[in-house]
Amino acid sequence: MDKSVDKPGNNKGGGRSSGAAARDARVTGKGGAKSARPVVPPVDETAQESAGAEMKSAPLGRSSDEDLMSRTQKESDQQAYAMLYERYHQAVLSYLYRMMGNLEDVESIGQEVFLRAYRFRATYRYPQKFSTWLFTISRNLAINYSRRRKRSPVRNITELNLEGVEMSGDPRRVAGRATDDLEKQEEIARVLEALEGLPADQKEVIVLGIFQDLSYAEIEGITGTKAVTLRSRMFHGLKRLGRLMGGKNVDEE
Amino acid sequence: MRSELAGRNKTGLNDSMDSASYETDRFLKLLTDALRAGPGSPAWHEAVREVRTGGLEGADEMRLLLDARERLQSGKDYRTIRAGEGFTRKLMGNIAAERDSGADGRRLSTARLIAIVSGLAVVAAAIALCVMLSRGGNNPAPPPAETAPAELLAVFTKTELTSTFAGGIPADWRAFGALGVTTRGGELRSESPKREDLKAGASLGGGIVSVNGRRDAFAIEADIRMDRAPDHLAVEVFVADEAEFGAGAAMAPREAAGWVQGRQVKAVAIEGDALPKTLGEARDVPGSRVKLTVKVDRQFVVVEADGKLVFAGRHNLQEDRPRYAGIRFLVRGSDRLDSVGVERVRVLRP
Repeated sequence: MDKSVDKPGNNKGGGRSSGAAARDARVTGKGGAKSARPVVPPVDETAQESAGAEMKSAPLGRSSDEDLMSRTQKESDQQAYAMLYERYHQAVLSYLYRMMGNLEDVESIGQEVFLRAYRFRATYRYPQKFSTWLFTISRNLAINYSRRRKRSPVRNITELNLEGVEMSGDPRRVAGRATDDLEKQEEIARVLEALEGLPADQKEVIVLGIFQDLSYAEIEGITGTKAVTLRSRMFHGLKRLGRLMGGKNVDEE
Repeated sequence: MRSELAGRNKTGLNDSMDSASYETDRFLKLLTDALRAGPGSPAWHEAVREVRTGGLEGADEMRLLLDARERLQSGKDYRTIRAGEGFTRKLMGNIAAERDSGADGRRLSTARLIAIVSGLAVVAAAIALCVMLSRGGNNPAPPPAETAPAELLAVFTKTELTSTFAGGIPADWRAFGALGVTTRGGELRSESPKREDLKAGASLGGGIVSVNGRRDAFAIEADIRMDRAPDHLAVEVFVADEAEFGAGAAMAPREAAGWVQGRQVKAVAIEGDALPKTLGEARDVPGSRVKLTVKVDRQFVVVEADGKLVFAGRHNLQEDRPRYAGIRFLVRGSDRLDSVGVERVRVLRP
């Protein structure tokens, strides 16, 4: 993985979300899951440099997310969009997996997220952060999908084309990789397991704020919930996790 | 646990804490920032320092939060997932197909489409409302009385001729048409047509027409009885500009007429054998009798039923030709023909 892809923070100012994507990418590498890289159209930077004066100083790999999106909008540039996909697919798919917990759902929604983002690229408006826009699409699709799933619980059988699942889907294996301290391993596993039992709004802010590394302002942009409310949810969610971690019954309160 | 938390009002960490607390309490904001930013961040170090040295009540509880956050940080790889080759290939293929199909990213979303359709519906409703208001609301358009001169619309008071049928057809009239007419019970009625004269779907006509032509304005007025008013029988009070009639329906080349059929009356323009052209709107006849009046001058015709205007406007008669008034029966069957009769005919002058 070249540096430009491994560091999606190349966007203006290096946003947190991009950093999270980069971290996700490093984690996968460390875990030694399938080493095959996603297939994206090759980026011909020479061609990009001849595309126009303003592009000469910003080949695709070093372009900000917003610049790439601008190219996608104006020129239907699939290579620019492929670069955005490369930067964000791991963050988006991981977010969906953490929120939904089902790989078949992640597979189908993940496809839909990036297809819709391309199809409705004209609706993206600068200076909104691309990552915020993309996560908003992801969240809305996940919510709609969950509603449909409640009405029709039959799952489609699809061929899974996702990597890194085996290494990160089990809390105890994750905990085992994190530390050699057995007591801490137990606590980590408990916290991760307890995450699934949190109320959806508390889980969402923890997943977006901690796992996806988004700021309160960005989560506010995605969910439409005020930052002060998000802080409250974060606080109470972690308090609940802390008590579960300590073996206490949350309902004791 | 509850009593422990209740003592933390100083930091706002009680169970009833609401969002507003985060806007006013510096430590709470610091703590929640630290929880989000995670171990190692400046906010984290500051929050830990406050908990250790700040002498805060309930420090153990806050330590628990920080510990939970630390464990989450350690398990941050949890459910990390990457797309495989097949996933990416499928997606890029779909995007290429999307691009090749000419979708430019400006496709209408469902919500936007609904908004546009709704907007168009509102505009259409507003336009329809304006049109209705400009026409005077929901009432049907009044007959175009302004298209006839005032003297034609006025009541004609001078009786030039009154004909009843107690003693047969008066000398001022002559019969015409393949459908015979007769006088029975003081009425002019249609005779029953011969079976061989009735062609499927075609009307057979006959009646009486004035012997003399008139060039000035006049009116013909007929009192018509309709007991059961069968649909296969019509009575026409007409003014023609010649007294020669065709076969079958026995129509003149040009006529302006009032027409009664069933329980409806209307004004029609006749052009020979062509289908009569209805002028204005048909009106219902409330009773079993109707006084049907047709008034003409050189250019205009007025049709009235029981004194109420049915139509007023230009007629199709030739201006320089004399006018012949008449009564015609039109039948498509032979049943109950005696249920309709003309009791009296008058010719009036203004």
